[in-house]
Amino acid sequence: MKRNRIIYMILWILSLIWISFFGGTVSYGFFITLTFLPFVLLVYLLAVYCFFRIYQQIDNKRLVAGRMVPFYFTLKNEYHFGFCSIKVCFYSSFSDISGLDDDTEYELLPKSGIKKHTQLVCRYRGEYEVGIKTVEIVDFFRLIRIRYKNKEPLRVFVRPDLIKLPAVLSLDDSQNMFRNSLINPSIPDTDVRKYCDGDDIRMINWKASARTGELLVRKMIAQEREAVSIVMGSERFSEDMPQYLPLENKILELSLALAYFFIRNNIPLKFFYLDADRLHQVNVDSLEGFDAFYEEVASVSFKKENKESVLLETVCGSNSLFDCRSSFFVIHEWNADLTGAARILRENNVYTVACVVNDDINLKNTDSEIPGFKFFKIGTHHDIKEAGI
Amino acid sequence: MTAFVYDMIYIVPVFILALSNAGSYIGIPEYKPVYYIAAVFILADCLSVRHFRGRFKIILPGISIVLVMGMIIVRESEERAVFIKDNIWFLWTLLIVIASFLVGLLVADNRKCRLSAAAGLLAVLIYLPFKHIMPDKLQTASSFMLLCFVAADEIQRRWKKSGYTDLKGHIVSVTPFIILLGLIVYLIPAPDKPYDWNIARQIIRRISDGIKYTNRLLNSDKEDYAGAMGFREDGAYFGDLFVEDDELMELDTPVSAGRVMYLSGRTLDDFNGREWNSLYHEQYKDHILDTLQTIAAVDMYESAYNFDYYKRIDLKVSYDEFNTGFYFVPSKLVKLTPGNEKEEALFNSDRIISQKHLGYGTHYDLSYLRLNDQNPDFKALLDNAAKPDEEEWDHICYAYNYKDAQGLSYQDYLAYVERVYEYYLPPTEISQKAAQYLESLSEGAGDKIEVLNRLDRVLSGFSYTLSPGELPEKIKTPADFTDYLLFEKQEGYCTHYATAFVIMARSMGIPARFVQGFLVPLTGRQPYIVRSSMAHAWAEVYIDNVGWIRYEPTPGIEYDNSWKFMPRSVDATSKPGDAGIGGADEKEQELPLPAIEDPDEIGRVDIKRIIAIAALVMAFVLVFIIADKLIRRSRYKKMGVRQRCVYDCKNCIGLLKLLGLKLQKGETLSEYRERAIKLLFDGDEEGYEEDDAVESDCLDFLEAYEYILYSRNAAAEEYTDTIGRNRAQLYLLIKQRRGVLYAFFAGLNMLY
Repeated sequence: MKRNRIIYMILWILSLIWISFFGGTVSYGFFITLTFLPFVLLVYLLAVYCFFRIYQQIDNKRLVAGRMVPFYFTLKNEYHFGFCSIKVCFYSSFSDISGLDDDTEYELLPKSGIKKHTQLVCRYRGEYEVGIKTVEIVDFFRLIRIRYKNKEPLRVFVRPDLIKLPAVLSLDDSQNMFRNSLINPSIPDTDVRKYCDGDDIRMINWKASARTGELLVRKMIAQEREAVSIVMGSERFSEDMPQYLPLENKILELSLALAYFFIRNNIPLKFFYLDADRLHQVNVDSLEGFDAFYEEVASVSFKKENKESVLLETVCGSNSLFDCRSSFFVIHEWNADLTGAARILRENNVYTVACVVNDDINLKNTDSEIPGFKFFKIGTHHDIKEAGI
Repeated sequence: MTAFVYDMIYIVPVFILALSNAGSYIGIPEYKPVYYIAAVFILADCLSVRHFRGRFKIILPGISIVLVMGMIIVRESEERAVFIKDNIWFLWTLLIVIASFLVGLLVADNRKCRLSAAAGLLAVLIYLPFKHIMPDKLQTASSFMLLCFVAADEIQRRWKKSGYTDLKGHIVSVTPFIILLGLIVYLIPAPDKPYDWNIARQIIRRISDGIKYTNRLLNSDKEDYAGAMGFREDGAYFGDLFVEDDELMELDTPVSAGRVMYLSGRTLDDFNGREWNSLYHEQYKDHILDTLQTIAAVDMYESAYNFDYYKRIDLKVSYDEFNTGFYFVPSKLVKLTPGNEKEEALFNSDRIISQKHLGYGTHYDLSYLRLNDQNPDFKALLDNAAKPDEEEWDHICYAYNYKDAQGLSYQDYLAYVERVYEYYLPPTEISQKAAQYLESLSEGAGDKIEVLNRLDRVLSGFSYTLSPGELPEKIKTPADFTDYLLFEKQEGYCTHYATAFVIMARSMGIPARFVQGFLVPLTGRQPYIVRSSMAHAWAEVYIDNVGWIRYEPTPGIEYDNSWKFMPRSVDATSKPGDAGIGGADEKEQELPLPAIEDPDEIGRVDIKRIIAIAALVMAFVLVFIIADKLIRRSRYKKMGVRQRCVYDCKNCIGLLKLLGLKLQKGETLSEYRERAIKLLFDGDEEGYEEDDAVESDCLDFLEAYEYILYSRNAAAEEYTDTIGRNRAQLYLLIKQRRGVLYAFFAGLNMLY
């Protein structure tokens, strides 16, 4: 394109020289041709801009971070003349399109289109635009290039990924004893519930099941005492999307991964987060309620007002945590509020694990000085499974 | 369609170039559209042969041939030769169009030819202006369009793109824009002269004007012209003259303002031997009085031919790099209108000044009389001018809108004349030597004016120099100065010569004065620029009853501002420059006699011609049918089995159409078959007989057709016989039920 422009400028200057010395149709015709050529090309590009259409489609409406979904787009020429060069650039900050290169130039003949099938991966949870970001069009003489934003971008809401942790090592052995203690034959089995996948078969109430014709499981009594709590920070630390999206995504992923582990292992869960200055508590007993729990947590809004210090203060003041054997804090900042909360919880016999999602290299994993308190640092791009929680 | 348009892209420009260039050589008819229409028809014929399929290939050429042959045949045998000879251009056009079509095709199909043609065309276009050959706009637009197409083609070839890229499709699809460009080239006027960059000059000028204006604003207290010759404030006139070249003023005048213009700034009346002073400096409108006096003189002398003595000229003066209080005006001023009300002109006896300081941006309009004083015939006026009476004076004032104007009455005029003699003819003594010299000049001269003319010629013969040096201290009187110049120095610049002339004129008893201003050559383009280097001094003498007349004694200044007197035999009411009446004798041309018709011939129809035309049409139709069949048969032979079956089935459907059974839109072949059986063989509305020899199995081809179309593995050979049999049956059916004519049409469609 640069070469063409140089040639054009040289020819135009020559035409100026030519009309300075010669009159007539040839010299002026040459000058007029070259002078009006950019205007005609601009008209052409304007027509391309008006009649070029992009149709984007994602098969799956429920997008989950890190998972590939089929993505289709069609570049369509809806008019009677050809489009010489169309180049599309994709959003790449938070999503990836596989198998397609941003440098590919397409040509569209009149009333024709190009359909492409590919895969889209969204890296982070959140609401943002994916697919085609900008369109670049070039005229047929390769003199003028116009780049413009896609008039109808594809906006998606991406849910956090649900990672299956094989183990949570930081749980104290004493936390595992709750499972055996639940099987206490002296306590009457008055409370039953439907059987869910993953439930211990020893907990099946055969009598009740035979009576009702469906598998029923004994509800564990006094299980609240053995629950685990997760306290998730929902403060937005930056207004810059490339900064806050990965962080919030990792916080949610970690929180959900821990929650999923506990629920899978029949450990009741109390989940706390702050929203609009109000502490929200979600209790999950079984996998049955996990879907609703997942939807609620995936929809949590991160806001600047949801201060982590307020969260810690509120949650410690509500006494709900003290009913739990362990408490996992998934937050971003490591500060005195956290250690203060850990002390309070330890005084109430609650084992505390702090998972700080932070890229600060000065923060290091350490067994803190407070007994019954563990600290982990996880980077926004680290694999949770390898965090050793 | 794409291929067709792609070919047209290259063929049409070649066609236009060939046609427009060849037109002048082949004797095209006077009514040019006939030539172009014929050429377009021939081109259409060529395109139809190239792009149309089957029988349509030859329809258009066939029609053209029939038309041409018909036009020849309808004429009498004697007229045919003449007709052909008169229209030989058609043959040439045919050859040119076919040749350009072939060239265009070659350019379209072959890349090397295309590039060579473009290079050749470009070379020709570059060469033509050097030879001052100008093609017309259509040719130019076509040429540039062709070059643009080739450029787009080459760019497209080198462009790597993804997906399906069709070069021809691409070029065709952007054709409208290149045509738009060609249209713009065609519509925008192309001057014959090179571009003068007037706009750029105006822009530059405006920018420089802005800079100058700003500069002037910052230096507005400095005055450039204060009436001192050479712009020296000390008033010393004689020395080495430093000439600057600033642009002071602009003049806009009509062409008839002459070759030079004298702009007077100030007149001086008193010379003390070393410098000029102005003793006569009073508020009188002497400039206007002088002009009115001259007008009155001419009016009284020869009013009917006043245009021989003077022309009224309008002039617009704009100040540029100039700071002054003076208005510069030509002699014989009629009217002065300042551009700004605040810059009101104040008339003094020796100058016209403004109350407000004049500088950059000042402009004023004036009108004056350009005198024909260099014409020898003008002298008669000088010798014979009469003094105007009050009635004449009032008449002149009324004609020039000065009736009742202050300071311009007849009494004012009389007083003015007295003042002229008082101030411009002081007692002037010259040396004896100078007097003798003057006397020698006067020998044989008829009058004083002749003497002045001789003196003017003498002084003009001296040398001109800008550095004559300072005047010697001994020069103390006008007489000393005159002797110094005439007999000793004999060189100087305008001031020296004007001074000497004035002194000598006064010594002869003729009022004279020294005038300072600018001498502006009126050459080149307007507006005329007045530069400071044009500062000048000259002499004026007062001729009784006529007024002030200019003399130019400075050496090296020769010009002729005169124009010819009109011959006095011509009616003076006609405007100068009228051509004589008359023209060539024109004999009336005899009109050709109308052809006398043979009364016996009137009303008789020429049967032979009609039969000939009909035979021609029939022959054409026959040829068309035969050619069509041959072409289709040839194509049929090249088809595969499946294609032939499909072709035959379509043929059979055509036969059904002749039976009144058209395949309807959206109808499947099965539905069509059922409908056909019902209508043809089950007693239908048309009342067909039921004992036809043809049975309903003549429609089996429809099943076969459906099977061939929609089954991938259909063995078409199995159905060949069925289809062939059905075709013959349908033909028979048509013959039975529709008659011979329909059968004939059916037969036309069948190959065998």
